[in-house]
Amino acid sequence: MPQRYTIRQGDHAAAVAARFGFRSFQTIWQDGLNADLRATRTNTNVLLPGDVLVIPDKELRVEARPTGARHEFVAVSSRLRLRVRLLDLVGEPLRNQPCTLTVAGTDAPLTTDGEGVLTQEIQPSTSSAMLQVGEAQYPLRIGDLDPVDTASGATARLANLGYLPDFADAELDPQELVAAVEEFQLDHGLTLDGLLAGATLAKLEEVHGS
Amino acid sequence: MTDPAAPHPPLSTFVALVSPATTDDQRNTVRPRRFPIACWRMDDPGFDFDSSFVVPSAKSQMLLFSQLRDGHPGCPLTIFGHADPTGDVEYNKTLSGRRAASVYALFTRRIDIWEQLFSSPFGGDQWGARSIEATLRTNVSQTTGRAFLEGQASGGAATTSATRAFQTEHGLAADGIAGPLTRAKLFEVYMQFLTTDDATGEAFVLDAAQDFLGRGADPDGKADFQGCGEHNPVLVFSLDETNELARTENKARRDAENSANRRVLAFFFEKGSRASVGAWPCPRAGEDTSGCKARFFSDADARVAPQPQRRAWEGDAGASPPIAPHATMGCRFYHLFALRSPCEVSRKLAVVRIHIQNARRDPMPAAHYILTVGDLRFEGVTDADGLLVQQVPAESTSGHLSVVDAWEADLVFRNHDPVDTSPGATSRLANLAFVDAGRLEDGPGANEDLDRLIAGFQDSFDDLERSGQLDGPTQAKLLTTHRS
Repeated sequence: MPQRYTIRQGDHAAAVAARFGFRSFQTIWQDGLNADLRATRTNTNVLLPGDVLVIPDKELRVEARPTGARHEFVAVSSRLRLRVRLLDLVGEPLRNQPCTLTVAGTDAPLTTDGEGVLTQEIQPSTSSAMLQVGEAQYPLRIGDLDPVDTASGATARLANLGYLPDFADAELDPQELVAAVEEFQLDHGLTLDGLLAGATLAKLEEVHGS
Repeated sequence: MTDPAAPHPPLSTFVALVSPATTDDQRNTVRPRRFPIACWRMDDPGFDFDSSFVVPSAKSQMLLFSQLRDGHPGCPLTIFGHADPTGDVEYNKTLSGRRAASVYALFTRRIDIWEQLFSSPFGGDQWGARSIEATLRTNVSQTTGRAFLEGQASGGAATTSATRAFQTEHGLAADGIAGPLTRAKLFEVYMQFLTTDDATGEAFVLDAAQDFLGRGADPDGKADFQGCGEHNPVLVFSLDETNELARTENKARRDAENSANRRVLAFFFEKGSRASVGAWPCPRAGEDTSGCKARFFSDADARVAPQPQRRAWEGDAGASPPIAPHATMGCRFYHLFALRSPCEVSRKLAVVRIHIQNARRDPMPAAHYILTVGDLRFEGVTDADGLLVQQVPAESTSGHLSVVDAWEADLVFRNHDPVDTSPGATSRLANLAFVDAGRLEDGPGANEDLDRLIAGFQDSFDDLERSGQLDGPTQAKLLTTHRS
């Protein structure tokens, strides 16, 4: 019997797959019963709490091999990574910048690439990390980014890009959001209207990278 | 709450919400926050009207700045000047830039910037003798142990003589003329005076290459100091007020009520913050407003334009209809700095209006007055009707008024009792000099001769009958004569 699973905050593709014992999220995602959600969410790593996924039954796979011999089975697993592009105060990439990513108490010394991007492999269960860049510290919550066309997803991206002091702040002054959106629109050659819609959302997703 | 120097409410710890990546084109982006953490505001009385010269009474505001800065070591700042919306937009941009430059120069001891402001007057912003005399009045001669210049006279023989004495003490050619060399020394001494904490005797100086957001990378101070002109008011008059105050005879009132908009702000940013000069959006202090306009809200004109109600930056939930907060500034970039700032409010000020008369009860137009309220000192001249208008902090209860070369009086700020009561009549008669002010505090019996005082008042007007009674016509005359 397939079961229905409601996405919670912090869920992302690999985390859901691991929860239900699937090696690849694609087995779940490509199931015919998830066609509607597939059409709505373009990035399986960015799902919205409340999204309902159908988890198909696991199919028993039969592999026939002769006895009395040694056989090798290779598990196919997609690598899960954390990729973050670092900018300075005025938006220039921090290229070849040494930094430290701390996950579950373990420090990983990293260096950003020529585009200011750092990459580190993580486990599906990793839900938080601390990124240290010089004197600045960025606590990261992995899998908590909502789709860009939701208010929480848009404000989180604006905050990551330095336009808002904090993500999805319940106390957020409506004037502050308008100002932040227009600052973003100006910086990226968009029409200034202070609205989170259309081309602005597409650009926000593009600039943020997810 | 209004606060001229305070930390901003702490920003919550920044947490970046990110998504993991399973393909090469997926990533996240993180950029530091560009939000101030503390602010200092220099109020209008720190400058004369339409002037960029920092007056001596600003010294107490400098101490507040110094204390705030000590609490935020390593945090760079940038300075914004603001003008009120009276007059030409570009003029106001330039004036606000000159004020910001003047404060920057004071902080960094850039005597050359002050010399530039002095020697390049702009419209009403003429430093002139006043800037020279400020030093001579505040600096004590080693020889006499007194200020080089005392008394109120300006620009005359006393100033020449004081300048000569100052020159002699500082090894300058003693010609009594404040030329460039003498001005440099005068400004240096005056900057020292303004920035010295008298309790410790220590003066603060900022490092232009370290302590500002632009770190002095631009010779004209881009990202270090700038003027916003009239584009970011904290108070926008109502339509009716705008029309009323536009009338020539209301200029003094308009300027007084606009004082909340005339201010200089310094914002401190998180330690290590730095702005590359090329990417900083604000034009230089000496540039026009075209660079500002790119950062204006799409509806900037409507934000700064008068509407049926008077609007304050902090809004007013109790007004009918309620006035939304944070909708008076035109510049989006500055708006984001001001949003959480305890320094950006339209201060609660009370307007003091006093008709100044001479002993014959004639109005004294163009009379030079000095009004002192607490630590604040307001100096100016009365208008054509002998009217003095000044804004003072709303919580003020007393002050002192000196009409130069005429008279002086202690002031008590409170509303008069109604004119048909004995105290109400007596206090008005006292202001009009029909009764010695000392009588106001007399004990029992003080009212016994109120009848006689009223009779004296009635004697002064041909159209009043000498009844000694506080009758209707007498009350009316008292109100029109006292004007309240």
